[in-house]
Amino acid sequence: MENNKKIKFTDFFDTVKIMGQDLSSVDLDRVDMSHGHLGDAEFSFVNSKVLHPDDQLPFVTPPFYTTFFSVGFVLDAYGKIIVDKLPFNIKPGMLFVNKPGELQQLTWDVMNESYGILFTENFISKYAGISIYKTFPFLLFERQIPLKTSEAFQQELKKIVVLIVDELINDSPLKNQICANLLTRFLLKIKQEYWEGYMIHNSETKNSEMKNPDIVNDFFQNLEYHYDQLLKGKVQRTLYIKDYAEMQQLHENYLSSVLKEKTGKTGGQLIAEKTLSAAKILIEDPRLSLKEIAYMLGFSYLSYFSIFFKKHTGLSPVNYRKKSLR
Amino acid sequence: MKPVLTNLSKITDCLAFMNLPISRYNSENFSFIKLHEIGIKLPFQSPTFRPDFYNLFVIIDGCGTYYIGDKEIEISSNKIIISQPESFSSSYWTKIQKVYTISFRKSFLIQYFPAGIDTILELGGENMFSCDLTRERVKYFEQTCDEIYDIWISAMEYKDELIANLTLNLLFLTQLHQKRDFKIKLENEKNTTIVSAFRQNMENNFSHLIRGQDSLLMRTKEHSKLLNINENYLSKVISNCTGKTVNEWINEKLIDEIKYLLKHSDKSMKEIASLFAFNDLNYFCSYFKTQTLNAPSTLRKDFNKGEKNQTAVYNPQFINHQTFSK
Repeated sequence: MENNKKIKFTDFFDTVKIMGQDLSSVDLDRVDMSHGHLGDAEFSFVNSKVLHPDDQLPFVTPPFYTTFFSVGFVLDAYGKIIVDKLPFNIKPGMLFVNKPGELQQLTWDVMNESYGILFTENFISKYAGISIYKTFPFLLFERQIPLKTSEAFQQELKKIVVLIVDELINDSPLKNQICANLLTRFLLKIKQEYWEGYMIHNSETKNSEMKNPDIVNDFFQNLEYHYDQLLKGKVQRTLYIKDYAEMQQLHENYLSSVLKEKTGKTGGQLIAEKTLSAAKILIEDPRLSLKEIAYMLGFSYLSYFSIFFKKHTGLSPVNYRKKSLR
Repeated sequence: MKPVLTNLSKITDCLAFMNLPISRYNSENFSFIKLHEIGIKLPFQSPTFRPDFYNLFVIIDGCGTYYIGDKEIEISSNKIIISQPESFSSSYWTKIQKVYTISFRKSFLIQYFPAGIDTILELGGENMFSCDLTRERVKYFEQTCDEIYDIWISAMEYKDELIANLTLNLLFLTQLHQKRDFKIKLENEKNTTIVSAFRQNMENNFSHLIRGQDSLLMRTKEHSKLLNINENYLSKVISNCTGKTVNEWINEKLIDEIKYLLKHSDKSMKEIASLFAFNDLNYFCSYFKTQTLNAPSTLRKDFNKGEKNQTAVYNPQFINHQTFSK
């Protein structure tokens, strides 16, 4: 694999390419499993066994950042995954969860059965109305230690995976809703199995009780919480890196440098990304005018918002709305 | 024999009224009953309820008739029936080999899945929907029902979320069977909101009327005021989106309710008229006649004549209870 030194952010399609597959030659409208991959940039399913046939093993990806959440569900495979420089051995019965912005490198040595489910925050919030921050806080944890699954639990999860595959192949008019429903069930099962009793700790208890060393994690939780409030119209103001630093009683330069070191992105970038995903959700709601959205997200002029949006997506808000409503 | 007429609406009240040996897990928001396991004596005529919840019958093996509004739906094996809240309904069973009943409030689902489910609960603008299932689907429904039941009686912390998720899944699959409704709904989200708000208000108005909490049948003027929009605009949106005018909606609903009471209760014409805020019996009769081309008494007579052949046996359990009181 070349390009090994150059780490880059990958959206869904880049990632697929890294995984050893070029989707530009694949007709995405044709739905079948021959490429080991189903779905689109918002939600997709990967059958690693098909993707990595025996004669191509061992297989190593270059390090990459993702822009989506992923759940790897290993039934029978061996390999290694490096997440944020921490290596883990992949063994049968392992379940690993990754969030956007994590530096990953994946190695497969033996591949018999392993599946991956990739989804964006937007997907689950649009089709199931679920806020990841509120319902699945465990997805946002700073460091994900791979989970070990019992035989029975594997069967339960596999049942859902099979349903997801069926649904993606069937391609019914309610495909997205049903997939979001099944994905939610998948995550709920994980939540029930591993995180029973876990609550989002709010900032008061956090500061007084134990000092949480997880600066990045706290930052993400604060970020998520703030945007959750923003979308509900409960707060009007947008926050800058300085405000987030103050929440954790840190200096802004220190927070920035920690963020940069751990996520590879600056605080400003992370906030911009979050703003962008919030903007996308809002734009898809035709009840809101673009001006309202701009104000909600803390832009004082509509034109600032348009420039910002266009810079990051290549589409103006108006065009994006037209596209999404089509 | 007519079913006992009540205007009970809460799940718990309805179940308590029937005095059946049913699990303690039932709440006002959700209940799950395996009809075949609670020792119902056949043939069984349920009382008339006016539920504030949705009912989903999964009939694996059973026979009977379901009455809702003016409709009579044959209950047969491999079939699902789902009914909207705020409509008089009752059921008559001659065979219950394997029948699941899932009752839930809309708020129960909305609580966990706030987005994307408005349209699936519309049932295409009807007060009920039924369809036959393929053998495969029946099996899937049965498995899912069993799964819901297992979760329901478990002590899992996130069981409500899982139950809502699984129930929603069944609803999505049901929705796939009613294809014709899709185009209308997806056109414009803003209009969809108005349509569903209007329907909700209309139903609330009816239930208030029947419970004597209100004495005015709302028409376009009142509805538009309630929604803070112009009368003409409301009319336009409703007729464009649903193909029916506001008054058609109201009249149809009204006639539907009246017909149910004429057929399945012994209430006198005068009582029925006053229930729906008709001050004058003559006006009631002529209104009914213009809408249906039949006098109310003719409808009742005709129906009773046909009904004589059918012998229904009451469960003696109901006798002690008080019936309809306004």
